[in-house]
Amino acid sequence: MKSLVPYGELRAFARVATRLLSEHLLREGGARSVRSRAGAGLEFLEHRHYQPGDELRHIDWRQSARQQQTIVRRYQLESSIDWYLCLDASSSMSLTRADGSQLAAQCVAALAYVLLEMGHRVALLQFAQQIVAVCPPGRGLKQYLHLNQQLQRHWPRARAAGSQLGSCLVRVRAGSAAFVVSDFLTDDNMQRDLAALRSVCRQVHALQLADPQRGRLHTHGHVTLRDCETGERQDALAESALNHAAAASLVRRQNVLRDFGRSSGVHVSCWQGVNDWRGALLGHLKSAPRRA
Amino acid sequence: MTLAHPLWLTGLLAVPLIWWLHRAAGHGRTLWVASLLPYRDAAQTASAHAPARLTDPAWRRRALAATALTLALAEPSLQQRSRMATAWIDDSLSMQTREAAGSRIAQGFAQLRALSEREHIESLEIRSLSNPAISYALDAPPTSAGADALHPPPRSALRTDREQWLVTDGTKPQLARWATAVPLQHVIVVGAETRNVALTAISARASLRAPAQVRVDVQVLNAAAVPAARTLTVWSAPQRQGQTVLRLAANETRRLSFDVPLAPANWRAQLTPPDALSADDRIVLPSAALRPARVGVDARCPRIVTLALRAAPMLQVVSADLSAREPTAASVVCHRSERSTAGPALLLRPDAAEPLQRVAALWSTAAREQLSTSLAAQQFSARGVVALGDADALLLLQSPAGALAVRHGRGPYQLVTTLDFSAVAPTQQASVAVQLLQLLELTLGRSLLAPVAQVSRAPQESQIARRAPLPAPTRLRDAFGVRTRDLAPWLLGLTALLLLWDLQATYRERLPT
Repeated sequence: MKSLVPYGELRAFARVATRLLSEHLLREGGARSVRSRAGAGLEFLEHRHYQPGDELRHIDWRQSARQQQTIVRRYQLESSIDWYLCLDASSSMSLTRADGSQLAAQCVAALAYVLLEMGHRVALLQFAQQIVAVCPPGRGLKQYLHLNQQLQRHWPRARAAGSQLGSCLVRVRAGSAAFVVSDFLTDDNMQRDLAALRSVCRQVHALQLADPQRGRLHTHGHVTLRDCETGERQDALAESALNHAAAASLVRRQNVLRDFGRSSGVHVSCWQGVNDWRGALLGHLKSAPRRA
Repeated sequence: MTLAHPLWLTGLLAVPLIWWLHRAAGHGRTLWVASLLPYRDAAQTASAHAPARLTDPAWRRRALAATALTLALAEPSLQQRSRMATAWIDDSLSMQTREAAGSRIAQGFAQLRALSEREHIESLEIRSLSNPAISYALDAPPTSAGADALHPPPRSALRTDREQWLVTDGTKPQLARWATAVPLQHVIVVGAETRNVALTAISARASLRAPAQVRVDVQVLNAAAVPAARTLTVWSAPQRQGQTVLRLAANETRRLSFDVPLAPANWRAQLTPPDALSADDRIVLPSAALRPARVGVDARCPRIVTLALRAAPMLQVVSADLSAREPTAASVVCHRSERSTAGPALLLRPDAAEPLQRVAALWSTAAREQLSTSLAAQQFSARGVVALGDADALLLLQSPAGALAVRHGRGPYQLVTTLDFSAVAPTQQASVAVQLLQLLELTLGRSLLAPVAQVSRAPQESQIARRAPLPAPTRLRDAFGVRTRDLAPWLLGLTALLLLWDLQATYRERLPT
């Protein structure tokens, strides 16, 4: 099956995103900062004199010859964790914009590729009213192919598919990390589910798809509005005042979600008016707190 | 307001249709949205600040445009009635009859004032029927009668943009006929009094045998349908010359004669006691017409001329020298070379070079109408003929040889004749005197041989009882005095403005936010 994102683009994106992920995301979970310490890892930490028990493959022969004594390289302690990528497959995602669900899928695919390349285990959970598709955690290119296949197989339904992030909780292993891509259009902006997820995971990221055109009705006069997820009806007078008020309501909801993220340790960013998934994802990674 | 095509008003049914399309039919459209949450928030915010609007405000603009267009197609026009009237006042003598509430004409003006206020007349013009050129003020009725005869204007002379009203007492059949011929919107009839005795004529004739005496004839008319008694007194002011008591039958006319001395004062007849129309209870005759005319005679005139003029009782002959100091009614000049004087003059100028001829001459028609005595063809002695001269010349006496007497001027006249009064046989002296006085009558323009003075008024002037039925007022025509203003262009303009407004509002609403 063809990749959602061409591999050339994935590799180019991975070169940038790996550095950002190392700097911003791969740290101890929780809000507290942790000092870096030596251990098994990829990133260089310091040199020191050889001590018995050190691995021979860590001897830095150039420095040893220069200093006339055995010197070893020490690396930062790094560990791979399980990443759960939660993609909203509710009906509202299909109405976000014409290629909204496509972009969200590409974003998730690219993020999975980068994480897999960094050696992490990545799982995919597509949820609506309940989990619609699951790809268990795995490593390597083979896992990416599985993810890619699942993303192209399960597209959001146009009607009657609600959003229930809480349904993913049963699949998420404790101590893992979660990355949620959704529009968060529920009564409480999925705050309750995000908080529950945060209590289980070491870290939780939320990327909100916010379409500036979402609150705009491209018609005039009296209309009956129907919620594509719940099917509820509401009579409204389509006019510019209503469009302005709906857009303002969406902005308020984004701010509420962002404030919730700050207080609960969930990094929230808004994918607003950007058609390119690269910009959205890199923007999220850059805005994440730097590792201590 | 009138409509040229009222059927177009059925287009107003489009207004509820527009409302339904904007409200009821609009709810049939369903829009699927990702979430109702932002719209619920918007509704809650709007209801917190202002009541929710049930209908699209655009329907009002469109309904108004449809209404304006429908009305424009019906072509409405606004008709403003500007009422103006001309009141024709019968200001004849009978309108001066005094009634219990004042004179008839005063009553007519009072009713006219009330009517114009009741009818909200913007412009009221009051014109005299005696002389339509005269107009009266509404608050100043005339206190005397106009001319004897009424001159109502023909229908074609009436202004069509004004209502025509008539104020009369209904005593003039002529006015009743006029009222039926012209459209009158209001006819005000005043007066209830019917009894009146009037002096309709007075005349005085001088007696040729007794120059100091005058016979005065007075004509009395009882214009009422019941008998009446009056006392008639004739005055030669300040003396009473005669008095008689009259008992007149209904509609009786009686003539009475009084011999009174010729006096410089006027003669006056008076009926007592006065009745409702007091203006015709008194009549005055000027005595000037019977007083002798003062004539200056040239000393060179033949003796027969002087004798003939002095014999006339209606002439006072003075010499030409005295006439230069005292004014005279005319001059008699008998010298051919002397230039004519400024005043009336009889120029006796026989041509001495011509032979004396006895000719049979005829007075012209114009001369015969002015002469007090009508004489047939006569034998005249003349020397030569008179040239007619200027355009004002009037041929008076014509013989086969030519004109024997010609009058010049338009008054005072100068009469030139070639009649020769110098050689007259004694048997012809009487006829020569008559011929001479006839020429002087034509010069003075008044009777000398049979002088009569007369003043009269038409008997119908004294009729104060209503005699002629007046027509019913004409109904005001719908289009009378109406100014029409077409409203269709204004409504079309309003429609265009509303559509432009709607277009602009729709465009603004659809702009990306």
